[in-house]
Amino acid sequence: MTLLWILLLLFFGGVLAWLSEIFDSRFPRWIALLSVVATFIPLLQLYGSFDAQRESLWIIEFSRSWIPSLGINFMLAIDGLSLLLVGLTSFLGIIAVGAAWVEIRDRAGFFYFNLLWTLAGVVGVFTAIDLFLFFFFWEVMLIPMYFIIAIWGHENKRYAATKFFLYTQFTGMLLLVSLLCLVYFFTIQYGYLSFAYEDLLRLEVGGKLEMWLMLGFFIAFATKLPSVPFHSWLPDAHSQAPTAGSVLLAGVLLKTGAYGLIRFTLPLFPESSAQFTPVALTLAVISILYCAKVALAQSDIKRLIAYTSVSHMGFVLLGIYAWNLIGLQGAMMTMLAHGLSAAALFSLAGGLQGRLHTRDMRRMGGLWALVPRMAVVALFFSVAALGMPGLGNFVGEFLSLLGVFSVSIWAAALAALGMIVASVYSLWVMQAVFQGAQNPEEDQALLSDLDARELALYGLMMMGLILLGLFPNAFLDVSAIALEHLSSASDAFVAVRGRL
Amino acid sequence: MAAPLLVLMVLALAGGLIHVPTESVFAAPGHGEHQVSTLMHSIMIAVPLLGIALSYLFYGSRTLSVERLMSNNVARGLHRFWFAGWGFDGLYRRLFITPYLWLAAINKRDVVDTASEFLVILSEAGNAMLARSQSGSLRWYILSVVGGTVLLITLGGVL
Repeated sequence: MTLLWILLLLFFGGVLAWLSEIFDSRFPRWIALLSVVATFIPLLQLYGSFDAQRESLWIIEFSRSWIPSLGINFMLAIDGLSLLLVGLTSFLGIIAVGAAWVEIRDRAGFFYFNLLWTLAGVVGVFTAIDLFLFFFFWEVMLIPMYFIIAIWGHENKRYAATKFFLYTQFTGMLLLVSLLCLVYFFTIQYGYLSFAYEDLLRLEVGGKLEMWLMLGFFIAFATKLPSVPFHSWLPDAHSQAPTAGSVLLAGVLLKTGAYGLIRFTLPLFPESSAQFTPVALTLAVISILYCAKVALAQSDIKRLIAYTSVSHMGFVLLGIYAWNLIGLQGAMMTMLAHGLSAAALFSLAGGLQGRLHTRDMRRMGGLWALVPRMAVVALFFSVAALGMPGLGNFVGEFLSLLGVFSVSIWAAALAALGMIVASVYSLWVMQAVFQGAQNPEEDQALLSDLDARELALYGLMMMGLILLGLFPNAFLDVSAIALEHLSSASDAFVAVRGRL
Repeated sequence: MAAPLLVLMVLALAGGLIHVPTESVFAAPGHGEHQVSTLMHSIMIAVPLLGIALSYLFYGSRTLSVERLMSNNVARGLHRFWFAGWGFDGLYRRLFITPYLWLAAINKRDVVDTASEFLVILSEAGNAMLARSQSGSLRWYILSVVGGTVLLITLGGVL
């Protein structure tokens, strides 16, 4: 019931926020904030009552018949992994509303409607265990995000929004085709129609066909993740999206791709995924190194951060295809930590753009003296992003590398170079923006430093990263059972990979 | 100024005698595995002593002259080389920094993105072509309808 409550809160909160605009243009943001905070409370409760010694996999389930003639049920369930990711979604929902607080003035009601519906879609994706319902939510989170970029974006928003839509929609179609094939084979083998996750897990397709179905799933999720070569929608979407849109995109939307790989691609197609492992690891290593290199060349600060996101998500892909507990835990920690650090960096970039009216780093410089608080906050998050021990990103990347080391020493060694190139671009940004000579053309005397609202938001994210870095077990323990179950259930995967 | 140096000097000479309790962390050194030859030992002991002797000759008794040594081209070259830390900074720059920056600079626009650029060009060209076909002259419309019908009938026949 709790899960349904969270979803309804977001869906109806969105509608209410839209309608409330009629009365006062400040109502929508308050309603949005109240809705996301209200979703966070039951999650904290679930986290508090979490029992690591539990036998059953799902913490809570919710199931109602939806379209019985097609075997489609409204089935929601949450385990340790999805609990953490839904928690991240809800947390970043608060941050996103805070980031939009003063930036969005035009059609605020519709904006918060889209924001909350995106969040609802993401929560649905993380909790649906009926594959049709999963696909439904997959689409639900796409369309409001398209509006957020297309309506409230910057100078080149049409291009970016269309690109984002085409990439995700086209690969979403591949997912749908694969999914329908999977259900078709299930019906032939078992004699009844079902979209339920646990039913489909029992199906063994095998052979070339399984490889094609797996690729359909993989491409859809790898585009969302994103991984090279499906990443090129991300820099455009990020640089054009409003700050709150970037926070949601980097913080939670990318994680749905990783979640899809962990929850669906590998367990549903263990054999072909195992055969595919070398390719996936190669793509991960290329993503890490190639995008770090492209990031260094960017002069648009948001494009730069977008490329670093792709680079960091490479570590997630790496950890997933290691397919052992350590690697998966690494992927999960990287998702949480990157969610916070990328959201913070995009907020900072948005803050700079709001103050300077440019994203071009060549027109910045020497800002430390003018906005010292902002500079310190930026330093904290860039140092976090480059993998400083004691902060969450380090734990995640380290565990990913450790997990993949037992599978492929080469992949681990090459990916570890990513930590070096990460410090190259992170420190370069700090130098280009906050240090050096001030740009004489800009009238920077009027710059305002972070206000109380912004400090509170960054403070929350800092606390999150420190918590992740210093007490990783508070999170690792929650996801351990779920990930252990996932990775050990696929004997076929390990058996096939052993033969490679 | 000299006091810290003196302390360090004494430690450098006698520091080895201080017992460091690391047995619990590092395994006891294996016997016979890493036996260093007597010749090696002698060289290791002789080199620092040789250094002390040489510096005495240069700076103490002034039997050898620094100025004379520096007038030699080879010695000057070596001095520059060692002064630049065995040229490691330059090596680094040439081996890593310059190629990396070059690689980054030539691919600023991300070559992978070309695929989507191509899609844009393709759909714009298609749009231009279709827009041109909307000319308002009835004969072209009739012709295209006839052409389509022929195509459909042929397809029906083939299948």
